[in-house]
Amino acid sequence: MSKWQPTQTAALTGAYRDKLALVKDGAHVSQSEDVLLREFTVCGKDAALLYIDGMADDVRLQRFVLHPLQAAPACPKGTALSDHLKDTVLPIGSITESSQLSALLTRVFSGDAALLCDGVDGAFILDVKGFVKRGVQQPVNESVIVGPQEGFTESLRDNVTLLRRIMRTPALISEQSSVGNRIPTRLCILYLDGVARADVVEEVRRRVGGCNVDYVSGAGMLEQLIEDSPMAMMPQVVSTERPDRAASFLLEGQVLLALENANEILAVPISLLHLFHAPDGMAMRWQYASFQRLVRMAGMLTALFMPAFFVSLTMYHSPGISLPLLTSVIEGQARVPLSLFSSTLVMLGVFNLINEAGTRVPGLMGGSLGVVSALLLGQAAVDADLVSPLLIIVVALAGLGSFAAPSYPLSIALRIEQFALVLAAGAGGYFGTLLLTFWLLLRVCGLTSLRAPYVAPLLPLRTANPDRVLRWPIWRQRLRGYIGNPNEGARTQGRMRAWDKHDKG
Amino acid sequence: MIKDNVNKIIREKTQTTSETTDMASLRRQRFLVSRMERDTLLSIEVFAQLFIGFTLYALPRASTAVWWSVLLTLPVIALMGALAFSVIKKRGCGMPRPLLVLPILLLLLDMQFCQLALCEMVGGAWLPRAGRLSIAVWVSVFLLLSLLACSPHSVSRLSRFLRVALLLSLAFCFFTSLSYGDAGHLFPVMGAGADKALLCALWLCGGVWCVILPAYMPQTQDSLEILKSRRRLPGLAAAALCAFIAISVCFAQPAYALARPRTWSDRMLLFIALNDSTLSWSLMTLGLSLLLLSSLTGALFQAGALIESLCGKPWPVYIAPLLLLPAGVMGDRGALAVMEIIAPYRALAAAILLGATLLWQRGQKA
Repeated sequence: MSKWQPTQTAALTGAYRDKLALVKDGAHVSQSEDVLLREFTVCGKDAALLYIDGMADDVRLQRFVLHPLQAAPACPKGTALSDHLKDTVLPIGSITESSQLSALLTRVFSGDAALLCDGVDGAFILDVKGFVKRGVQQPVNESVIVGPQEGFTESLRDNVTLLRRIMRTPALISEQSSVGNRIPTRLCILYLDGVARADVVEEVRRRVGGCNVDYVSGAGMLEQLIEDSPMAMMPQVVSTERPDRAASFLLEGQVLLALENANEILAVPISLLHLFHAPDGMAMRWQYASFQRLVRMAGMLTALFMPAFFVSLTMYHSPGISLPLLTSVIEGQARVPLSLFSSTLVMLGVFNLINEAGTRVPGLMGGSLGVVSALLLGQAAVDADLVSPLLIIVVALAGLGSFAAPSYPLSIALRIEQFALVLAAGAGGYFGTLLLTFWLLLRVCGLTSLRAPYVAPLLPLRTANPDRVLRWPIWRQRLRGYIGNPNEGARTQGRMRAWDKHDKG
Repeated sequence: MIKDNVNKIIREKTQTTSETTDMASLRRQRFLVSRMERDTLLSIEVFAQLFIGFTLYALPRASTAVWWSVLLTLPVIALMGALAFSVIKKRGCGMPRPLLVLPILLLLLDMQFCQLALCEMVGGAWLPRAGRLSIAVWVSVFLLLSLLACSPHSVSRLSRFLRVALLLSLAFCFFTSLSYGDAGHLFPVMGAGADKALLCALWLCGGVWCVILPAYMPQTQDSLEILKSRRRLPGLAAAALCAFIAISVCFAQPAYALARPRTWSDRMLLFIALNDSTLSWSLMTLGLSLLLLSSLTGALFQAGALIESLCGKPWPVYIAPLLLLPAGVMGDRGALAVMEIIAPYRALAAAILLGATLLWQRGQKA
């Protein structure tokens, strides 16, 4: 048997020495210097404590495990040693018993300690986690002006706690699970009991359980393993760094997946509209939030279609352009050696290059680099007659529009589709653009997210609150999303502004 | 009172006060929505066929009097819809499967028509230097990719969105062209002669045969119950009326209509010729092409569903390139001439189909 997957299926039964040897071999105690096995005696019996240096909290180990064990009174007659240790000796909140080596090793390598004792079947797992982790900070990718400023961290426990602090109800269920065959990563399935549909929760469990992979490094990887159509361009799972947004997903009846080592929580199922909604939408008055949504959508449409329409109009349909605009295009293009199609592709490529470089350059330099590169390169390209000034405007507007997408994966999808549409426009003008757009629309309309239609509640029409394209007033949002349990479809009975006699809901 | 009623309608429309809070009524609502989508797709198909017939056949023959030729198709639509409804009501008796060949053939004809119209339109408006056959090849590639990568219900779902997009583009162009219009162009009522106008009406009726499709499309028991329960024809009459308004009012206005433009694409682009702004031109050409493209794709997936229900096997993807065959063999002009002869008989074929089905159902009941 390889060292990668040793005797982990073995059961921790039999003599103490055999169990100890099994654990030593399984945890590679002799090879890993940070895997520590402390042997001592408890109530006159041999015992050993297995833990990882740095993952377990030294102070808790010392004060609540080692010291009480070594100073333990003798086991009273007629009382099993295991009961004596659990009930009298160990002042630890969470103690579980394990008889499987694999389960024991998973917990120990997650920061817990394992106590083996002569005369006790199996082992005790003691919760003494105390590894280094980042504190709660502002979310980086979902910053808002109005609303809470807390973000998730890489600690699963902290993330669940952040959610619990918002949703103080026993209806919030957090099911522990793990994903990954060889190096399991802890995972938590969160949902509001009764609000989320039972079949959706079951489907999430089935998909998570069906991930046949050695290790899951983060939420992005898990997303790709559980989504309905992995070949589709559009994201089918929405991720958030914000506890308040995650809570709103729960209230809509969605199921959340929180993963250890991921500072994002995944929500399923989703609709396309979730990707257009910004986290601060609910914190603002409906007029402002609706206006911002319209601006964002206009930006995204600009990003998607503007370069393609520009190429189509100038290359194929110049009779359709009004004379002043046509003159401006021809004048701008007259001194440029590259064709308009090639210039557009090059400029879009350069824009994406600047964006990617700006993302990878550390800290504040990234933003500065983007601005400087765009200014210098754009000006230099126009001065050198490599591109027309009009094209710079088109590409800049399209780029700006793609940044208006509140979801980063959606923004990338838009930029890829933007390239495809420019290629189609170069091949067939409006005709090429139309064919590709129609095909993309057909694809999107056929997509599902965890079997729920992707463009619902618009296509197909579904009963849901009116928080769709526009964000209608809060007091009109008496229904949850169409995704949740229909029996709990209404958020409230009667009018939300019950004090207002003139409000007819 | 009026304000309360309007508020109630708005709330029901936005579904903010829906009583649907259990699975059974939710399921029923979903069937209703799905029926609504399919009806919208049918409306788009009827609209597209009327547009094709109007520009290809009726306009050069009946001139501006063609508006009442379109009007005459309304009773035909109503009659066919009523007969189709009685077929639906008796679907519990079953359906003569061999008869399904007929709607499949008719859908193939519709697709061929749409493809020819789309190629003509694209060639005339966007790609004047491209051959019609090369445009048709692109359309076939699109259809092939759609069959391979898109789900069958995507088109009907999308049709709800397309309906809005089409109506908006039509409305925009209509309002921007109002200043050029003259209601006097609706007269003389007889146009080029009453006989020609009547002949055109007869020809146009061939395009509305697809109102009978719901009677033959595969249905589950639940969806059949919902189909049976409806008391009025679904939106189709309204769609036809809409087509009538759009076509007659908009196209009767331009003075160019009287000049009888030479080619089919010129006639299809008549309305656009008046408005030379980039936005209107782009919107209108895109809108009309979208109409033809969605109708073509819709017919493709409907034919696919019928074939699957007839043979139990999914729609063979190579059918899409086969659409190129007539134009490839006879040339686009030849294919168009043949289609022009066949087209009006679609209504007759539909009537025979309905009659045969009703007779068969009566025999089964007896």
